Amino acid sequence: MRRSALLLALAAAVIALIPVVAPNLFYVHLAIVTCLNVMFVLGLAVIARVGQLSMGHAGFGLLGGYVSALLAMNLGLPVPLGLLAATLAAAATAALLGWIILRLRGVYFVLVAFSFGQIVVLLALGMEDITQGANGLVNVPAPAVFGYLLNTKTAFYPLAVAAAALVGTGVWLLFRSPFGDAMAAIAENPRLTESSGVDTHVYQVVAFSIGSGIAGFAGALSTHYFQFISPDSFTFWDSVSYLTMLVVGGRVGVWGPILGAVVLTPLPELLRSTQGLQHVLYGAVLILVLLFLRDGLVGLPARLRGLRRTSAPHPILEHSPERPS
Amino acid sequence: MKRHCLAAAIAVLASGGARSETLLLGVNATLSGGGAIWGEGMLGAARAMADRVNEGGGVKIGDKTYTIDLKVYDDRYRPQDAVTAMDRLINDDGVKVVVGPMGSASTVATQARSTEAKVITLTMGFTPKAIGSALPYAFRPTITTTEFTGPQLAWVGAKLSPKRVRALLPNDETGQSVGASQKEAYKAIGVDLQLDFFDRERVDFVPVLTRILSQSDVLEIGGNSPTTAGLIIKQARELGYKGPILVTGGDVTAELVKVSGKQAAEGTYVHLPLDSGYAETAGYIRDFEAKYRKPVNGHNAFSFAGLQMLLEAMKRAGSVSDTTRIAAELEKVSAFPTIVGKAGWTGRERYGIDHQIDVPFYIGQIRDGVAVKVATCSYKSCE
Repeated sequence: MRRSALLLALAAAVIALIPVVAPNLFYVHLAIVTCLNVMFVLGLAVIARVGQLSMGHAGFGLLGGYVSALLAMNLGLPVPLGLLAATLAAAATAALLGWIILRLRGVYFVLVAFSFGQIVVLLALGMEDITQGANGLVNVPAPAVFGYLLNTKTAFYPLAVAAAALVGTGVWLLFRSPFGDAMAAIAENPRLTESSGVDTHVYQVVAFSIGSGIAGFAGALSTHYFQFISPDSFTFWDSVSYLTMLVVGGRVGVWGPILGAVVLTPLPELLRSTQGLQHVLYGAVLILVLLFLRDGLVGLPARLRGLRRTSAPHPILEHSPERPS
Repeated sequence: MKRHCLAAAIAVLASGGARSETLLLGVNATLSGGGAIWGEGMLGAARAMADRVNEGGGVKIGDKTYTIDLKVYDDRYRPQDAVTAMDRLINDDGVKVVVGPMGSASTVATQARSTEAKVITLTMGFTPKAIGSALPYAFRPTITTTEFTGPQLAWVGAKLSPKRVRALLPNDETGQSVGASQKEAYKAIGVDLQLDFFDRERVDFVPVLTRILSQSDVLEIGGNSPTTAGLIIKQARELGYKGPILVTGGDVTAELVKVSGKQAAEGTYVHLPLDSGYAETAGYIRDFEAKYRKPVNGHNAFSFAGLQMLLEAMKRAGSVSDTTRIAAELEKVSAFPTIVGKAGWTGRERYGIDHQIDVPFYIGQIRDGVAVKVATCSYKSCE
């Protein structure tokens, strides 16, 4: 417990110091994008907790982004209210959609969720009068807190960290609750869970709504940070990226998704100057993790401990007189 | 001994720093995925300019001689990535001049950052929002649909007298932007252009062509990638369509003919951004293709021309870092000899600022697999 608290304090100190110690503002930008991705991946983790895989996750981000941007630009709604509306809009859409499609499992749900993401992109492209079509919405207002406009990287960074921490804490509490246990049980064996009196369909719909609502919130926050949104802002490939982060970090618990986003957001920057190698890197990391780290990076310490235990000479056998020389 | 070594190292570093001056040039373009062919063109232009300057011993600006160093980042054709790349160029690399962004959405998404940092951009974004009076550091050294569609269609309209024209376009930023320009330009010649959009990944056009070809006497496919345009032409000819086909957009001929075949492409009218009969253009294409073993497309040639104008502006401003002075001098560059012809800037009437390149362009007709120039155009008319 003390070790966890110490690690948490250390992480908090590093996060707080980033704007001070970062060589330049680009690294602050990268830290903000990491926080945004942490939220997206945590949302996906909530859906994965009930054994489902949403390939339309970015679609909810796009929906949230447009809702918040349009409310702020057309109705002058304050950004915090826009963020709330975006979260609710994404969650409500997911609830409606989920009520119908969550009776499907496996590849069927993946396909329908993928289709939803594509439909949102096509709607954003087609509803030109509202969304400005492919050119997107420009000059989306930056958020303001107590009258202080967060339109610079250093000003926005604390908000991004606070939002990621809020989402992280919420998901952590959810996973630790009896509701979270039921979610995990559904992923493990839905029929057995149902026979224990749990309405698995309702639980799945709620999990899908929460996860997609988080994506809507993250999409909206991202839109106010970039001050721009277009149909290309959140596409199928973003859903693939979030999924890769989740698998690489670890699908179980809260730390896996966070670790996945923290590692895989800055990693492609090392290869941005190369042509196409970023995609190869993503693919290679995903394959390696699936092959050798089924629990993701978060399971690495336990795996290393296990390896050490199996490779260390057995203390009794080492001194046994029967041991062959 | 240690002290002597340290002193010597400091002396070497100090003298080295004084000798070599470097002009950092950023490239923010699509280098992977669907739009890579255009981004590669922009990168090729930047490399060609850097090699030309560096192999010639550098460029003299003010009282210093500079060699060019490139910082190249891929935006993966995504606006968010373009913003990250621009942030990195500005804040991490300290770049003051960027070749790009390439796509319209990427151009619009990065404007706030590049304008605030006073970074000069040579964008290839076709959107009318790419340049404007609020964007004093954004220049567009390429001719867009907005500029060439009007005069080209006036010429084609007089020649073909079309009554019913259907356009096939991808349902994305390029397709929508091109479609709007085309609709306006066709309206000016008395034709109500009907637009049909499709997913960019689509390769089977037979169903949509079967539906629309009976309702049109001219098929317009400008705004498509060369490969898609070639596929559409091939499939339209296979369906028995014998009417004229117009490709009023982009430099597409070589790739288009590869896909459609010479026979299907015969007679197609194409936008011809480059006149390969112009000595400077022909020389650049020949040298580039010999050295880099890659074809020259419009994005390549116009990016190179933009860099030629930019270096001239830097020389006149006597600075590589004072972008306000450089932008002011760049605006004044007029009738300047570039590889695409004598170039200057225009656009005040349409965009509120003279940051749109002003060079001649052409209409070509594909004959035996090659685009032959049939008209020379200015922004007012084609002759």
